[in-house]
Amino acid sequence: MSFWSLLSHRLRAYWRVPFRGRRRGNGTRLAAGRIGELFGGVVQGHVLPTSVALVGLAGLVSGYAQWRRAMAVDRSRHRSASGGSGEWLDRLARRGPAWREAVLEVRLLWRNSQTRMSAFTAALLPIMVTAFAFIPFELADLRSMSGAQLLNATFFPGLFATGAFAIYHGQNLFSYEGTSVESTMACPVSARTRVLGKLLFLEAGTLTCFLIPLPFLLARQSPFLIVHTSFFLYNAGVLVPAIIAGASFNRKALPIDERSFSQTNFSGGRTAITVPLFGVPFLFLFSLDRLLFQFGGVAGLGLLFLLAMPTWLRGLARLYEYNRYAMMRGFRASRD
Amino acid sequence: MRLTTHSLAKRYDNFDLSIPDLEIESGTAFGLVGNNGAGKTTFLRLVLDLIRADDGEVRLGGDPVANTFDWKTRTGSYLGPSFLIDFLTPDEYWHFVGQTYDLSEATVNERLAQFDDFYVDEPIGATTKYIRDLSTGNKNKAGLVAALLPKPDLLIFDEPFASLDPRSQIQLKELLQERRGEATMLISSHDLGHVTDVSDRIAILEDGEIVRDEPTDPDTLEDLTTYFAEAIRPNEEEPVEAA
Repeated sequence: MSFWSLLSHRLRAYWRVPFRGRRRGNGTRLAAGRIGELFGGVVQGHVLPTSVALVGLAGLVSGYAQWRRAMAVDRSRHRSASGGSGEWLDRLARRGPAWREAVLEVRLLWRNSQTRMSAFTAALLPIMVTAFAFIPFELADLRSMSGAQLLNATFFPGLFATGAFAIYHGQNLFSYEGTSVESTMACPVSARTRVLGKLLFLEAGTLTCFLIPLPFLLARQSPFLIVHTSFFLYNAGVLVPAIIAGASFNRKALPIDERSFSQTNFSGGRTAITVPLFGVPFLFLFSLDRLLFQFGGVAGLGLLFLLAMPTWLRGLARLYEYNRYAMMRGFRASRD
Repeated sequence: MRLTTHSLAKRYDNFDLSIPDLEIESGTAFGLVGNNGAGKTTFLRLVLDLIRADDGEVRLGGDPVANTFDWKTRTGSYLGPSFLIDFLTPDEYWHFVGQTYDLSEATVNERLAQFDDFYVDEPIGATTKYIRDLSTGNKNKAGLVAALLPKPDLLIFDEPFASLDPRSQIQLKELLQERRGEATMLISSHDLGHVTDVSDRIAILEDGEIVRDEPTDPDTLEDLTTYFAEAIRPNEEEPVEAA
């Protein structure tokens, strides 16, 4: 039985059991149980839960629209002391040079169609993992999974859930600034500051992807918490710096103010650096036979790399310096 | 800030730039004129370390631009819209640039007030827009203000008068005249009149080489006009000779 068949089977079994008969507690667990009811009902095609879910979805979309309006420039407002929109972002930018660079990335992300789309695509996977919190899995299920089942249960829900933002958005770092790259290059911003700003930004995105499903996984005491946490540490420690290293090999400026599902920005250097790292966690998962060592190995490697971040930062700054002329040449050529 | 080049060369498939030895003393306003494709922008990019020289080097204040960073804190530049961050409003952009030069918010606001008469159309009025939504002229003004904001020791401009309305061109000339003597200026322009007005020295760049480099005097504008007119005169005379 594949992982997805197993998932479907468990959900059907879960829905058949009356709610009152299930294990439940007070407060958060009760709320989590209700959400589980809702999710299960939607999967089964019941009218009431589906309607509730649709209303919730409409609320999310409406919330997003309001948020976007808040991020956009208020065209009727006089110039403020700090100028433009987002006073809280201005305050954050004043915390230091790296924060200023990270805030610039946030504004780039939210004010351009293409980057906004990559952010929302990235948000889908953590939301999917949130749904996993309501699947009645036990630790024993994780232990007894075959190789293919383990791959299914960890590749997207693990590697991509917390790594989605870094992978989708991070791979095109620098390319998204391709049309204005000379602006930042001519300013007195050191390579270290630029790279640290991007690191801060991607780490914040990765942390957000980790935090979205966390309360639900905790409330439901889901074994996916193990997968989620270990891959978060791996992604934050290993994948994010590698993605930035790979992005320094980007040579094509990407238009950011238009929406496209496929933007071709292939880079051999980027692929060579990042793709092998997608496979590293699975060396632990397939070569070891106890959960502690399997997921502990993945988490430990991430933690080790996080502790060594000052060293990676120096290396990333040097790599950026090494690639900057070629990057600018490529961006100018693709822009022209 | 003193600008020097030593055996500077940049080679492309069908174009070579070669500026063996050039010295621009501190506080000099140096104008650079030439036809399209002469290598003006390439030279400015080399000075700003935006492209790598194939041979030789540029030094600013004695430091080679390729291996040092401090010169950036003393340099303001605008070479065109690629120097703008177009998803910011002009205000946000100016504050961003100010922060990179370690200017406090109060200082940025104080200095921006000096440009209230120059940048009259968009953000200081009732509305504000992203830079990408501005007209070409206002985009250029936003970039020029950002370059002047930190009061740098070296100012580098490529076609600063392009797309500006006549009023703004005159204002820009006044702004540059105010900085004359305090800052070294390197200004490339097709507008012979304006560049002559703001420069102490003018060089003509042709096919990647400086073919003339002289201090400005009352006859400079006429000399330059004659120089460029001579280049097209043979073409004008051809039909007459054929007849």
